[in-house]
Amino acid sequence: MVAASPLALLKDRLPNASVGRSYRADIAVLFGEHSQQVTGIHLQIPEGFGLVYDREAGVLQGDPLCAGEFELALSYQVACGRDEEGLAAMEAACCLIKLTVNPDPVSLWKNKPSDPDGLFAKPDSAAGFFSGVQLTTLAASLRGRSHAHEGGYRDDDYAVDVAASSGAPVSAAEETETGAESSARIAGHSPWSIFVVADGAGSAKLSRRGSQLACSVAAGHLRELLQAQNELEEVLAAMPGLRTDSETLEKVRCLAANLFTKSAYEAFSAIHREAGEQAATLRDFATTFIGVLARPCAGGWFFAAFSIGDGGAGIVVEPGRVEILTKADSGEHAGTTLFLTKADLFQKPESLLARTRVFFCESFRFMAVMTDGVSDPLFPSDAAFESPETWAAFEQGLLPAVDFLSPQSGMEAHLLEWLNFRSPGNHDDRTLLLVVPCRPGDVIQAETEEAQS
Amino acid sequence: MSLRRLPVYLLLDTSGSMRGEPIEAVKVGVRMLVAALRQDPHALESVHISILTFDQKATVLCPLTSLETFQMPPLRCLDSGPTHLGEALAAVCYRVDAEVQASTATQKGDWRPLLFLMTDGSPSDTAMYREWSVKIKEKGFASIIACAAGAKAQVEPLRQVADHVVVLDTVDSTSLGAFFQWISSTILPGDEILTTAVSPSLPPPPPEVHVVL
Repeated sequence: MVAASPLALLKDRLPNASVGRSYRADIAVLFGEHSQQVTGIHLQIPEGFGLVYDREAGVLQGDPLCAGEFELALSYQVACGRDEEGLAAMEAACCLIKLTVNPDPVSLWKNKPSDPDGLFAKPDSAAGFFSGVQLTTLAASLRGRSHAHEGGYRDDDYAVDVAASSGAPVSAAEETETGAESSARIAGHSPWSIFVVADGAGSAKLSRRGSQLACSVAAGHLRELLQAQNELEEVLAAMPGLRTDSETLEKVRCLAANLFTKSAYEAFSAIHREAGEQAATLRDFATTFIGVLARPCAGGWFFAAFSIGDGGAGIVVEPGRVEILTKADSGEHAGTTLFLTKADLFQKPESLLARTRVFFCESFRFMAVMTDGVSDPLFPSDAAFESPETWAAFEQGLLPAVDFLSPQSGMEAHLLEWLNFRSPGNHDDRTLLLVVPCRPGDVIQAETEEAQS
Repeated sequence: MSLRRLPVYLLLDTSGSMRGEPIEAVKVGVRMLVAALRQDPHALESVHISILTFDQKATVLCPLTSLETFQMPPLRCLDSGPTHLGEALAAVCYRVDAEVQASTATQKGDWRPLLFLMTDGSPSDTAMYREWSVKIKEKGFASIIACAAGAKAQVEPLRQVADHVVVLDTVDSTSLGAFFQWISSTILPGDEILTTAVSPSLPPPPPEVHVVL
């Protein structure tokens, strides 16, 4: 029944459709300039296909339900001059029209658990609620869809070590033995809170371990350095208020850079040792690194941040005012970045100083530290990361999951759920720390909870 | 928000020697590649395909098009004539400059592009080939994979351009099918190849495809 060479037909394929998206195609495109001569078009469509042919309008439209390659029977009549009696002559024709319907990507994602017994196995998600004396932190880290699809591991990691009411830090690494006893074991009073996130490179096969070491080792080392007598503490203590001269500011920045550089190098060395033990290369452990220090100071708050790679940290000081603590290392193309495991980084002290930023403020609404799995979809450019409007939208978007005014234990689970938001093309691991100052009069709880699923 | 695209360039030989079964096999192969990619959610949201052909000249058969809207353009072979692979490399370079978006302060760039090159011969425009096989290295390709198909295909010139060269003993639908199927698996594993800084490792090829070391 198919004509050998269909009359007047210019092409035999309609524009592609996609399941989950409305479709509309003008049938006239098949005939091009001949469309005026064509009448009586009929398109046969299988039932339940989701598309209908509107004869009046000459369009195929609707919401396609099935993905695949289809052939639809098209019949029509073509005017071909006049016959011997002067009447318009029509010739009937029919053919098969091809239509590709793409699947809905949402339906294709698989969620395969990672192997819990594999080398450097890591839970597919982690979340924590850290209530300190001055700061409350919600932390969540979720394996990206692209890793879930392959049954791969979460390559992101984080470490939170907030100053607790007892003065002793409560740390993510000690979640199994929390409680008054273990907190009290840690000597000394420290007003410092430490936040680290790291994103293992997707292309590096042991980067899940690289990010883990980066977080735990650097956070631990920062704590050690801050527990000991240190010049940063002394300079800050000597400051009468927030207003400070540029000389002191630069000094503070250098001292913070020193702490970060030492800790990052400690993490680098730990990764180097691990690589040696595993007969692997540093590259196999490639990970980014973002560290933030926070403490109260005379008249307000002090922050210092240091980063290698992408993702970022920012503080919403007040509505409409945001302070960005990091500058992402991004190349010409998406996914191009710098890693902590790049050995020559530590041979350039001036570049390490340039990676350090400090900030003083009287008060702030919240601070966010995130890997690029969060920043890429929500802050789609470097300019957007610096824009108060984007941060306002970010805060607004978080509201269903997080109460910024009084974060409670349990909200970390909501944050983890929230991290699973859909954004086409963005399927990386996502890690987000939200840090909120405790308001005066808040009931202070020295507790930490860490849920891993 | 603009989507970060993964540009995939296919550079296909349509010189006279490809007439008949070889070019038919290439068509089937590209269709299989596209169909396989459409089954991968990450690819479906990021892969963009462009097809260029080369014989006595280079032709952009299909500019960079999203996998969703891509339709296979007709592939035709000339009766005979030279194989201007050098000109083809130049054409790819121009297309990359024009089409692949670099990161700016206000926009995230595309993923690094991939190039797959298939020939059953060797470049006739040797001077031009020498020039552009150097220049193409500066275009930021995450990976260039070349396929020498059949007995007359020369591996040596391809090694100057490609990170990986594979050899097919015959230019038929079985081996080309295996090649394109294998290509799809090198594009599929999401950020394995999307992320950079580390040269991507290739999945093991099927028996029809020999990787030249």
